[in-house]
Amino acid sequence: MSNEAAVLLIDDDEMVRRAFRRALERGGLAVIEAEDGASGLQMAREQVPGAVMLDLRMPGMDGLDVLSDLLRDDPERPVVVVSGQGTMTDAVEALRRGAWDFVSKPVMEPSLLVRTVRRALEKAALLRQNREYSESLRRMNEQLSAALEEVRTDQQAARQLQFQLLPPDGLCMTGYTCSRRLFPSQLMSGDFLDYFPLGPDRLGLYVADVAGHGAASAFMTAILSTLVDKYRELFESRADETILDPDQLLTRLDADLVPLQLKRHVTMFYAVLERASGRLVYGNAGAFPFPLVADGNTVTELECVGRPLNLPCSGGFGRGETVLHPAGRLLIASDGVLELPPKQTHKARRESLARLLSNSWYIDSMLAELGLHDGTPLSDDVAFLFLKRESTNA
Amino acid sequence: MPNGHVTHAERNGIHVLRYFGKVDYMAAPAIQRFLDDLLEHERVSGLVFDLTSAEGLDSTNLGLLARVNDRVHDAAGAGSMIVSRSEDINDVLRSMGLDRIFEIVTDEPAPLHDCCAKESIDVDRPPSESELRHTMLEAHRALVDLSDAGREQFHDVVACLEKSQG
Repeated sequence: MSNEAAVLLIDDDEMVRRAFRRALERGGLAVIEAEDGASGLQMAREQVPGAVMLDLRMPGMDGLDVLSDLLRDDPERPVVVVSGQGTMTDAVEALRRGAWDFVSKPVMEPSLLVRTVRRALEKAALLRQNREYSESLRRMNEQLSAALEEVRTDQQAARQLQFQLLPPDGLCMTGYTCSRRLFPSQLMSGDFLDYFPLGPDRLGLYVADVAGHGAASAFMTAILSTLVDKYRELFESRADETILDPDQLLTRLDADLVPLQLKRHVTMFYAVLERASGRLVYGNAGAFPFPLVADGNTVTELECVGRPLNLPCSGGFGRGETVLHPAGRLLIASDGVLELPPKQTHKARRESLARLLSNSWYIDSMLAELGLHDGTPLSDDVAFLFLKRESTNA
Repeated sequence: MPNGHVTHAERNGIHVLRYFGKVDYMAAPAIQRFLDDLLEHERVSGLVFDLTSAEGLDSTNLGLLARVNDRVHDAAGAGSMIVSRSEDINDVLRSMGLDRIFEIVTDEPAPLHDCCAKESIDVDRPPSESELRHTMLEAHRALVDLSDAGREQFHDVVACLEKSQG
């Protein structure tokens, strides 16, 4: 409130009004006057002063009633009541009803009057500012909530789409069962996996992890899965056998990703399994921890280092082969598994995963042991691919 | 920065970045901008990433290291190295083959004459490269020693950015 804000004086005593006006005007405040409650109320409604000084004892309408009406009209406008000596009970009642302050007559010190009104005006300005801030905050909050809700709905739809790209869980492919679990740390995942038949004799499978989290990484998993699908189609149309050779597939993927300039690298473990023999040929583009293979209760880590896709690095991809015996299991987990609570060193976590796999035949029992379920708060996406060879399939 | 932070100091064209705590993808854009700025405007003969105080580096930051390394190597005569004693971090660096593009120093930086003794056996390395290696190790050790002695030369990377952007 500026200094020019008018102060309305409501007092039946003309001498008092004159004295007050002089003091307030010297203090830089504009003044308007009314000589009784009824005309004061009307003036307050018509001229909207910044503050009101109200005498409590006037003929006609009682000062306390005028006070109530003034505050009902505008609860944020300060009203300072003026009481004569010996009418302290009135002043107390006025404060109880919502008066901002009071001065008692006679006012010996004019500057006190100015200070009192000024203080009331400043307080009113602060309160009004405060309310305006709160309101604009509330409005912004509402807008933000609405925008957030929109983004969330959007992401939810994208998440559904991403999950639709995943292969069916528990897929049986003559003699082998593939299961998968994906736990995104946000709505969408930068981890992705797939498994599929390659002709009548082989299976292909991979787990990939795009650097980062959320929508951008998820988008790139979709590109990745599209590229792999393309190589599959080329194989099915007998045009190209890249998909049968893990090292060639990773090289091809890298060559196809780099020109897209997406600036996110991808770690990926890709393997081709020969159904009859259980021979597993694999390639690794920096995926870590290394996959685990169980033969009975014996677990081996498929240690193979290699450079990630879409990253300026020297060296080749990791490669190797092993055999999945009847009743054998293969577990591929993305690096998010290393970050799961309780905090452990990577080495300890890898060892405990190996122990877990040594006597587990079901993915869900392993996840239960890891304390992982939908809704577990995660710092990184976690993906699991679990492949089991039937014991009868020798 | 709620999780980790990165500080920077320079000595004779050798730039040292010290990583503290858990540096994740939230910090990566600021580090990237800082390094872009550095490579564009400063003389960079070598980059040392000191990860000895880092609890972890996520994939985004690992990728950032590899990409920056690539650019530093493009600049003639420049090199980059990682000082890291965390087995977890080193396992990840190795699994991605980053030990093939970075020199990863896992032991305490040795005094200069020891380096020389070691280097003189290493005939495969061209002398200029081993000299650079010495210079980098020495600059790193000197800056860290100063910092340990309370004569801080390191500045927060994010704060530097804010200052340079006025």
